[in-house]
Amino acid sequence: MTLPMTIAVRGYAVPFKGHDGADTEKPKARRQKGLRKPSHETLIFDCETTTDHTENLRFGTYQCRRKGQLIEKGIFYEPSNPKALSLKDIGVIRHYASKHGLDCLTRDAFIQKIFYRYAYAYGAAVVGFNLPFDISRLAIKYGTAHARDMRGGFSIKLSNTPHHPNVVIKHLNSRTSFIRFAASGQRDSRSERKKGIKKQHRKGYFQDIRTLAAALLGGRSHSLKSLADTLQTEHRKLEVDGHDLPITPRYLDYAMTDTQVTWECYEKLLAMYAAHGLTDMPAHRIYSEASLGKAYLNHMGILPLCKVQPDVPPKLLGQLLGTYYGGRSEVRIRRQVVRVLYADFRSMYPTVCTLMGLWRHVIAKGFDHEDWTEEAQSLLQAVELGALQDKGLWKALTAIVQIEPDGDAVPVRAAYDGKSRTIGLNHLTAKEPLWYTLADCIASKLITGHAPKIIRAVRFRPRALQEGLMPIPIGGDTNLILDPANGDFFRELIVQRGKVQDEHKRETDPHKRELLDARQLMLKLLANSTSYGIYAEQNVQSYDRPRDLELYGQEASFRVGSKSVEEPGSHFHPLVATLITGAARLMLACAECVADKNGIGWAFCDTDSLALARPEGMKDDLFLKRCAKITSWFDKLDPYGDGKPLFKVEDQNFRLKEGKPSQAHEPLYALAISAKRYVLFNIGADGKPTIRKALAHGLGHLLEPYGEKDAPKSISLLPNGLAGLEVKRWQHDIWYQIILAFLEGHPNRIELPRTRKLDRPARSRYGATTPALLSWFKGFNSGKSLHDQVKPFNFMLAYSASKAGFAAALANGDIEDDLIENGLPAVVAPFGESDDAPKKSFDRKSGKPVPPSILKTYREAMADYAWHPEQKFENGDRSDTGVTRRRHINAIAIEYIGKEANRWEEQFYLGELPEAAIEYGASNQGNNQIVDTLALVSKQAGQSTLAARAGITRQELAAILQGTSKPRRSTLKALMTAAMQLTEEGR
Amino acid sequence: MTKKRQFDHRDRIARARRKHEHFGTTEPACSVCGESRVALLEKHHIAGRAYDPATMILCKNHHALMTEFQKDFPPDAGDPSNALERIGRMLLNLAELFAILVEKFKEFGIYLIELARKEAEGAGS
Repeated sequence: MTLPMTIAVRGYAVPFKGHDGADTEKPKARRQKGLRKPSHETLIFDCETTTDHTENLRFGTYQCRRKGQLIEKGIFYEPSNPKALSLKDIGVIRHYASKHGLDCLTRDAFIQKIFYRYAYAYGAAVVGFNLPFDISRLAIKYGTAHARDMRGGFSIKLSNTPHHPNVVIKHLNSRTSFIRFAASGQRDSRSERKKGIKKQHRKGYFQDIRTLAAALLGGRSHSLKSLADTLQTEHRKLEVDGHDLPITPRYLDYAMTDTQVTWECYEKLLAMYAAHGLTDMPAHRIYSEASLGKAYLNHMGILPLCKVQPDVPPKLLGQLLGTYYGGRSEVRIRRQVVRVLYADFRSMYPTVCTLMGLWRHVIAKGFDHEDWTEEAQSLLQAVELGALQDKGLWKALTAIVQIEPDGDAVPVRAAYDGKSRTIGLNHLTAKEPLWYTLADCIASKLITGHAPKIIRAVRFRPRALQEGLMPIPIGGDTNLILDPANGDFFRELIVQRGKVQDEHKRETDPHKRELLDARQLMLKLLANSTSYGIYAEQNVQSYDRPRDLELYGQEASFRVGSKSVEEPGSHFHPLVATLITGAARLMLACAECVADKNGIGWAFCDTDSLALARPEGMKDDLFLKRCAKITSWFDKLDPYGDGKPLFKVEDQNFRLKEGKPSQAHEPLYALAISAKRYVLFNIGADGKPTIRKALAHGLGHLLEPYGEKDAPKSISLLPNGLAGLEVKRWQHDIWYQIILAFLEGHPNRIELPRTRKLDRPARSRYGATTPALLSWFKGFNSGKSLHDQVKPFNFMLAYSASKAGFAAALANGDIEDDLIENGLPAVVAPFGESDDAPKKSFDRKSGKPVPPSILKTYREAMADYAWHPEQKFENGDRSDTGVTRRRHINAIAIEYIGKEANRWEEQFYLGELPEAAIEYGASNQGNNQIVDTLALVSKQAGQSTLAARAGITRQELAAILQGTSKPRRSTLKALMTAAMQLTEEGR
Repeated sequence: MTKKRQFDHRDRIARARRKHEHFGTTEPACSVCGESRVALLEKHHIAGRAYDPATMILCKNHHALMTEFQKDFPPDAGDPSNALERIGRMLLNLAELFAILVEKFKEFGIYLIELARKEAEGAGS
């Protein structure tokens, strides 16, 4: 039986241009561009703060440099906050400064004489580690940024001097923020205005080295300490006992060293960046790997699609975006320990780009599209697993097809749990035709055995090559020149990286090894940054009022209003983006089918990896033999020809010898709970597990309750500790205990590590990074002086309320009435390290205090971890174990959505934020289809039951069904969830 | 007003930065002679301010010279919005600029040859 659901597909929304096609937005005034690069001066500074919730400035240290040479350095302090800095502390600072020949300034003097002189008047690069936090420590006032590009950010006032502009900061993620000076006053003189000259205001050059480090070092987050260790700087971060203690010369040494280390890291990172040879793009404009990728494409003279073909019909872009789904991440064998062989595809995205020849699309003057219906139909009828070993077939996959889904196994995006949308490869039946990539349709045929019914197909061919493409030397090495116009760029990158890695392995000279390592990292960065993300980039602008948009969906366009408007990134190319992920899903489907043909199952898959599972009763030798057959099936598809396997058996499958994987297999086991929630381990002779790979999904948002020092002694680690596992000690221990419970045969009785640390309220730490987040503390801040407030970028704590605790507190009368009305509270608290922090917690919806007794402890929060459902599949409910089955979805209507990962970081730490989702809703026809389905369900289950389940009155439901009331999107969503549940219960 | 400009006027680096912003480059130089001291540099409207916004950097001497040449062009009675008038003005100005450049190229060519001979003599002795 099929499950009626609304499914969601991406739509392409553009500002509505009026009925006559005229743009309703005001044209932007053209201004002269400012200088792209900072001057020779650099200002490096760092602030030391209190550790309570106010995180007030105590003192800071700075260095000013010209062409790298130190010209002045000193200390500045906050003279007017005795709670942060006593008179005695100030005396110690002054004495230290005079002893070491340092300038000693008050905060105000630092701002006037150093900060604005260097940052504003000189155009110096302002360098810091976690710069938004440091800048906001210097604030004398703060507000909301109003500039179009900085909407959703803070405007920080640092000086009362009228010509000193505020600093505006827009947080993007934990590693990246946009920072610039605000435009202030009249910047064009009267004579300039008369001549029509419009100057660019001074934006400043703010360089957060955390951002640059993440972009250049492969996207990893670093602390200043770990960054200095990685970059092997001359000075390293010193250790101190605490930050809230009386100031001592040792603490001042620590602070001065921090600034020096920051400078050294910056210098090293600049040198690394210079090696890329991207002279057109200054380092402070590199925000991520994607910026690096875009800078490379620009450097090679590659123009983006919007420039070479600005007239791509928006309808086509809507259809292309409609076929876009992310990587496949699924669990097949759930809550059961299985013997696996874990394998992954070598550089999946560059590989499929090469197989399909997508580089040619990147360097073309756009694309032409043609009707390819008959060819696609016959291809799909004829295609079988063996044909996919032919590289030629992959070249033909640059097509999208419109199908009439009838039980086909295709990616389906829906709210399977009734709350948040996930993508599952499920059977789909729909009255309305849907667009998919051809690769997805082939995958469906491999899985179901029958070809989807194609109504229409469109094939894309790249136009002629762009002119002016320029070869680039990688890392300034003239022996390693990559020519974008000749050959496949992605292939060349991977081959070259393989060669450099081999050379690195053979090399014994440490200096040469270092150089080779840097080069292979550069090639990896280049491959990652140019092979995927930038083509799907869409930036979301938030507005206070809904904007009028034209939404292009599967067929027709319609008008919608939305406060979030997506703006395509500079290299946005939805064709390339969707073809890449579609082909990657096909690759996984091939692996699944090849495994099936060889009598092997699978435990889970994750974008580019698959854990092949040994069937019960099969001997290990035979299992490994068959796995070898499966992995070697892909050898024919290898586009690199360097003898390395395309579907690679991962290191976790091999026995460790002196901390390194040997050639000998060691039986590997998997325990998968749900998508991205799995662990791989060996089982020792004593029956105890040794974890080889674990994911922190569902755990990563919590602050660690204990570190290595307090870890239970009974839990053993690999000989080389947590190295290579990428989880923290407590996360490792949780997994360990879960595995142990399964191995010992009591999976429903998991004994979490015996430490009292897990009995404290589970908490996440997140910064008040946007005015909306800070507004949660409006009540708390009200009437307090700036020194006592929670300010921009201060940390806050987020807790979860326990249902049982809430019910008990209700029964005891510990809860205020306001809190009861809003249901389970969303608890936040000002930051604090002490055990008193939960006492200051409050409900962010009502602002009312919350008793600490209702907060979930780590133990309670983790209690459900091993039961997390995989609701996109059948047999994926909490206590279900064994093989999950694909659902059969009956799509009753299509809802259109925007970028799925909008504000993901906020949601990761603070829980789901409904306002972060970009929803355009369904077309009128879609809404009518939903109402028809609701009418059908209410006939079977009764209007009262359906209304009660959805949380509305029967009268409201009746009005919706009669068409006299137009429901909100949220009401319709609640009704559809209720209808789905009732249908499932009625089976 | 004096207070507003306290950094810019008293501080050499700040003054230089303002000039760099004005010229749109951190390494401004006269397009004819290569003079790079910012105090001696100015922006010159290639076709005349009324006819085209395009500018180039010239030193004060060459700017004066170019402005002097412009005085010999047909008087400013034409319509600045007329494309033909604007292109004509641009071509006249470019012709004068190229004339100066021709002279400069000759000077520079002779200088390089002399330099090469001096170096050869130095190497021979």
